[in-house]
Amino acid sequence: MAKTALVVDDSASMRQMVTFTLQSAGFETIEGTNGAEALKASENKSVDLVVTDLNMPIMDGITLVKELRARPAFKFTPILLLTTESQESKKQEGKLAGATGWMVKPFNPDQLLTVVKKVVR
Amino acid sequence: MQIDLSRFRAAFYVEAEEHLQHMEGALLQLESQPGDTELLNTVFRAAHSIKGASTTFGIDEVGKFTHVLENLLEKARDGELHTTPDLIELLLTSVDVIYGLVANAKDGAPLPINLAEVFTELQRVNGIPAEQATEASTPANHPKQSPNALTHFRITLNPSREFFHFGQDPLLLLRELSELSEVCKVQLDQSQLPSLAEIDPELCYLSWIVDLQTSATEEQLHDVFMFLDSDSTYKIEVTGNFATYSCSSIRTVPTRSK
Repeated sequence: MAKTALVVDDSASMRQMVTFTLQSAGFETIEGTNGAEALKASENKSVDLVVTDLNMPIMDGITLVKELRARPAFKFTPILLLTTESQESKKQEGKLAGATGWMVKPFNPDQLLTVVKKVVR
Repeated sequence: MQIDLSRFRAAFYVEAEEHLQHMEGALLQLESQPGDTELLNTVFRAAHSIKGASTTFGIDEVGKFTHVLENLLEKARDGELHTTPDLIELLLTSVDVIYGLVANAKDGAPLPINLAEVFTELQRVNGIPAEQATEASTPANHPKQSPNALTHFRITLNPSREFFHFGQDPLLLLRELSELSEVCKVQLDQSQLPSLAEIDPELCYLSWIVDLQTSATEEQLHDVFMFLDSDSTYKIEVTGNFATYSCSSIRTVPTRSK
């Protein structure tokens, strides 16, 4: 059975790139343009990986991580944050919130899949 | 995997225009509400998004310019710079420049004639010397450690009790190590494992000692553990090189303690 990834980014182009890459690697994808949308889209779904941007309107990535970790179904799910080099403090904040790892922008599809392989069986 | 990133540029051009419109609108409002944090956040978020996507899709001129703009906006957002009429004017001009840079990338329109002038002014207000800004916009050129000859390492991994709650999986770490090296011996330390009645299945009680030989650098081995949570620990020790003993000579069946 294909694994499912939840991809969250307010940037349509970044979301397209991440979903296309993950689909090419065999994932099915669910998308959200911010944390609140992602929470709604993933309700009652079995998700194997979350890839989320940090800076988003309505609900940011850190809040999303906290909200997801509070759900029993997401207690152990790998969560990757998309960040930039200028956000080292956010990276640490994300870890404290329960994120598994991060992906530093800019990145290419191969780099994304290398990091995904580190966190998904 | 070969994926042509240019296929995502069309979406970027559309969203860049939307972000620029938001920036322009928020900056015009800032003229009458200087220092408004939410408006500054809107401008910052838009610039941040444009920078992130443009650098990812290789639209370097946009990425380089927006990077400096983003730094300046961060300072304004954090109160280090006041949103004076002059600063707002500079930011509005910068938005026009980004419109021009996007048009250049999209349709081959000429570069904005005031590009260099505005970029220099952004650097000046930002307090970044021109040459430093150029360095900052290029990826750091870390000296590469030359690959070692086959070296023996001992790696001790002590995951935190809450390890699984960060989406971590010790098996993935062991697998990654085995892809980088020939694993000679894995010892499982289950001394912290409580009795069955006391086990919380959501916690990690196990730790590992891994002996391996590899041509990978120590830095590559550290990268395996880059996502460990702060309560987990690991240690990498050089235990010898291939010249002194080989993996096969120490291969043993791991024993299990009671």
